[in-house]
Amino acid sequence: MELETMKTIWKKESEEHFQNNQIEQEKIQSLMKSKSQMTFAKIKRSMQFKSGTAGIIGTGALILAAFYFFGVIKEPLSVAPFLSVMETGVILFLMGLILCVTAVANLLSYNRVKQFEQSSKPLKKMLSESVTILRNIISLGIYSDAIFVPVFSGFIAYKWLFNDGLVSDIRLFYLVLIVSAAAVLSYVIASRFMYQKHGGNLEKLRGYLKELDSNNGIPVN
Amino acid sequence: MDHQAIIHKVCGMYCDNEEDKKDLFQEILINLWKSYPSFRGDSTFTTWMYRVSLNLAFQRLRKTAKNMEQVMLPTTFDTMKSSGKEGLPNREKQQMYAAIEKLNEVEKAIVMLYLEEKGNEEIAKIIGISQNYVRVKMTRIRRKLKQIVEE
Repeated sequence: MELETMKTIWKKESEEHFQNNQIEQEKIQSLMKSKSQMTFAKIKRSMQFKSGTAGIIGTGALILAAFYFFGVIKEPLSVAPFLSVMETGVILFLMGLILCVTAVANLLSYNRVKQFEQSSKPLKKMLSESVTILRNIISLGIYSDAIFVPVFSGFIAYKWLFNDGLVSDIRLFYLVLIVSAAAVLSYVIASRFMYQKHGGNLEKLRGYLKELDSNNGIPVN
Repeated sequence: MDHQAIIHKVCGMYCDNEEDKKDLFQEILINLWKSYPSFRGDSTFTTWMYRVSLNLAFQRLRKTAKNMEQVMLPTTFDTMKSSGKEGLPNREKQQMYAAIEKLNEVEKAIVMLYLEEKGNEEIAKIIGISQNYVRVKMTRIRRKLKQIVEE
């Protein structure tokens, strides 16, 4: 079938079907209120949730840490009675800091996705940007999920190895080893999880972009 | 130019089922609404509409529409594929849609714009490639369509 024939059929079809099939205003409003299931809309919602919860919990942890540092609270947390008051303050401070950084990073990414969604840039440029954004989302997901494990395992290992306070001996090497192993392991697990979640989409977008690359494919005679 | 028809055509071209189509339709509407203030008039309104709509169709990536509010859209591209309207031979129509289905996503976008009687310059602006490359792509698409029909 020639493209010109298709054009005639298409034109006729458009006239027959679209001109008498307008959606009413109420239906449009109703559609606009419903929750989108699109990939980037879902990512945006997840970022909004992560940013909100991490921000609230992180701020709470920082306030609690300040109470411990300034002696307002003099008892360790009931969930970790083996920690001293100062150690509880330090671990709460670290947790709060990580959570607040995660919240800010998610908020920044959320705003970027929001801006990008409303973009009217040409398709090729948009695809290139969406690849970058998706890669950043994957990286953010990996680091924000993976950072807790080495921090907490390091803290537990420190508590287990150094009952008598931090000393520079072989135990310090063990501590570094445990923290490094935990970091690598959590990074690998988080990477695998994030690529399982978004890797397919990333490849799809790269495929579209490759299709639009003028250096790709057979030359025209 | 019927602006709503542009959204319907993009949805019809990139969605296989009604739920998916509703989802994309909604997303395009919302984003056209939100991004309208940024429309500066440096391209025609329809070029801008095609850009926003196609960008969203390509961002859609996955078909996941389970929780959508049930709002029925009128008969559009989906039903056009299967209907046998008077005036046009059904076989020809089916042949056209079957051929389009076999094209990849990028080719579908270019063909749709071509069928909408957009010139190479406008297609190039919407897709973001050179006019020369639009011609190259069109030549490849012609060949591909010929092969598809011959099969």
